Amino acid sequence: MAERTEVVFVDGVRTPFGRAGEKGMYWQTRADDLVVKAMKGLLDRNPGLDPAEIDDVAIAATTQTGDQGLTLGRTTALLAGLPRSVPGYAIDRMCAGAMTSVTTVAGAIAFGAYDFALAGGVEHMGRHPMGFDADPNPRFLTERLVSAEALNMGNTAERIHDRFPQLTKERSDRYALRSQQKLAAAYDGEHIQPDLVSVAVKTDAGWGLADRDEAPRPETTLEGLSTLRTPFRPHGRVTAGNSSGLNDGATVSLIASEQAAVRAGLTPKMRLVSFAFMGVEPEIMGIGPVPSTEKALRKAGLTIDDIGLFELNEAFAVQVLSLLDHFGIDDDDPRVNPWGGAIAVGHPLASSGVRLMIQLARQFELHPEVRYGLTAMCVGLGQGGSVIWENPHFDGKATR
Amino acid sequence: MSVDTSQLVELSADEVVTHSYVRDVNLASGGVLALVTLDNDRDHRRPSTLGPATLIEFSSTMDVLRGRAAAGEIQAIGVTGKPYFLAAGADLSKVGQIPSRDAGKQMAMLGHDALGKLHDAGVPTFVFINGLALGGGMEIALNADYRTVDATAPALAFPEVFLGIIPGWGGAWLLPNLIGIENALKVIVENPLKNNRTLKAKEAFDLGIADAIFGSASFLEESLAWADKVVHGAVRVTRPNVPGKIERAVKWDAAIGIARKTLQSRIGTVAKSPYAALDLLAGAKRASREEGFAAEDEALADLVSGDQFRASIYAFDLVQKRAKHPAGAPSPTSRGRSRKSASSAQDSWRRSSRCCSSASSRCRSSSPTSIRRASTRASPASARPSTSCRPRVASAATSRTD
Repeated sequence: MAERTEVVFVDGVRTPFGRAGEKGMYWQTRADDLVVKAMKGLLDRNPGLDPAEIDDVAIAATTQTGDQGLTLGRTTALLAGLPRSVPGYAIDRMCAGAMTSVTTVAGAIAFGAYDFALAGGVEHMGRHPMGFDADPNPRFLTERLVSAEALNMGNTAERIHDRFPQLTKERSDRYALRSQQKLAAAYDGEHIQPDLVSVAVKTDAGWGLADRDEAPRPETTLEGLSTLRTPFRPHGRVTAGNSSGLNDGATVSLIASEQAAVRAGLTPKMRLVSFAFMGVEPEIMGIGPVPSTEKALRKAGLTIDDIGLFELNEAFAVQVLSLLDHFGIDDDDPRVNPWGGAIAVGHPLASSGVRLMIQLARQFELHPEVRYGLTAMCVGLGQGGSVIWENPHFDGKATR
Repeated sequence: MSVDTSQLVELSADEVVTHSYVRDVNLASGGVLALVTLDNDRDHRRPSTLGPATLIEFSSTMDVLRGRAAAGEIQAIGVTGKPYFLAAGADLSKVGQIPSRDAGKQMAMLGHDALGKLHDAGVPTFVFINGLALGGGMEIALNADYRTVDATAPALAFPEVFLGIIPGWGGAWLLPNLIGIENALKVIVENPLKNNRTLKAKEAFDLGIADAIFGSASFLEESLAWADKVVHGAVRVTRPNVPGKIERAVKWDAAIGIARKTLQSRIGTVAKSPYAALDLLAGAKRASREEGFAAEDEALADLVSGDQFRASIYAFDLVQKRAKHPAGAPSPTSRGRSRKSASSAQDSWRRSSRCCSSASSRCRSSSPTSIRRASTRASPASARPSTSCRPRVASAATSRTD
């Protein structure tokens, strides 16, 4: 009989995130190679782990064709030099791909089927624009199951602005500005760099080395943000400045049973408490994390007041604000995305979930007074995903 | 340019130039490594080769980098190649056309001058051998202070003696002084005469040609991290095969003597290049770097403008180029090649024929030692468009990218 166990996040790394497109640093770099670099980087810094003991490899991508096709978990494991006995598979839940990789292998670990698993995601949005080559069922339109507008994420963000008039463009812009500033401060504090795996990138001007994120615009100003055009609607509120961009990048994490990790001499960085995914109206997919967070809290027997740190994916500023408003949290609450978020660092769709976890894990280390943290994100076609983590460094003196 | 290249300029009019692209790379523990990428902007079917224009560009690139090193802007210099290739050596179509001894000497001196700028550059220099390295490609690596090699590099070799010349851009002096005389004899004389045998990456590493070996999944990243450690003293490079006093006093001349006798008994004394190589290797025992390079200049000038090399290139073309691409045959472009590479039949014929990588094949017929035989009667191997004569390296590269 398999033994049920606690599930821990042992470690996670990511490639620097690049800007998608011909001018982006990864234009000539394959998506699967991004995963391989991250995977090797993760294994190299956890020498205590015998690669043969990895029970599975789950890698997510939204558009699973071309260099993101062919069962990424298996191909990247082979390419990274893992033993051939290590199996692997691919995952897709759009933006929550990597998050779903983690929760899926976590289920297998909790059940006792696995001891160690690699979970991550990749998106090369330069090579694979979102929804490219997809063939939505015509019933979506003929039966008005999902409005055509809901397939465009920017429109769904505009609709959240419509639904919650208190979420103004000014608040979104201000939030976006803070995201840029907080990320720049985190870079200055060397909080981001330790978990980046450098990637050698081929360009027309020779080989280079990608060793930091390409997307951040620390020079952003409120004035600059207010003048950006609103591409999704005339006189709209969603701009390139208060949304995440189109990016390339990959993340990989090591998830394990607590006993196996300790046996291998590894120090877990987070303990999994609960997770939940929920569906919402696709037309306002951005509010997805609200019900999924409520469900995850309910499953954990916690309330929102128990959460000391939030890592929320900033697909759109308004979408994060809708969650904060729902739970009565201030826009500038220091517990929320202390190192900025996807608006600044970028959002390579299926890779972002593990980025949230990487950052939460590092913040746990710096905040032993915090016991619980939340990673949450919205998902296209109307979903939300939330994972609640416990801080193993918690010193018991917390007020929260 | 400190070397007179007047006679080479005409040769390089239609050269496929391998460019020296430079990008700065931040080292993890601080400092900047200027990374040179050798790339001819063609796909994997046309390996990077080194002609006069290529060397001149490399030389001026190195001048800029040495200036930046002196100014304290960079803390290291690295060189690597486009995917799958460091460099496949001298551009045979150019070397084969050298009109005079003077031009041959200019070519030798140009190579020494350009590649030699990797030595005493003011900061540590590294060559990351990311793929195929033949002849001049190997000499780029040897002129640098440190080398890493990709474990999957398909071939490392000095095919010069096989073609009737000698490693004349530093190889004949640098190699024995790096890996010992017996190993150098094997790589420079013995292997070329054994049907142009090449080294695998691991063999090259074991011989001491490379200081570190890394897998291909993140070869460049690991090489840069290793270079960082060398620059900052965290890694000390040891080279057990560097010849010591005893080897120089006792082993060196004896090894040369044995090799000479073996050569004489096996191939006679008509073919010049193996003996020229032996003389250079013998001289490398005492010669300074400058003296060694000067000796190479003279030897290469003699051989590259001589009859034997011409005949060798002619034979080489017959069994490599003509066997694969018979004159007048339809262009391979009609078989659905990509638009980018497709051009006129003549163009594609010229492009592939210039590729020096065929020198790495284990073709049995065009060794200089068999020139005499080949010229008096058609060797069976050379008459047959044998599949064993296909460039192994190029086909390996093709299958890797498929």
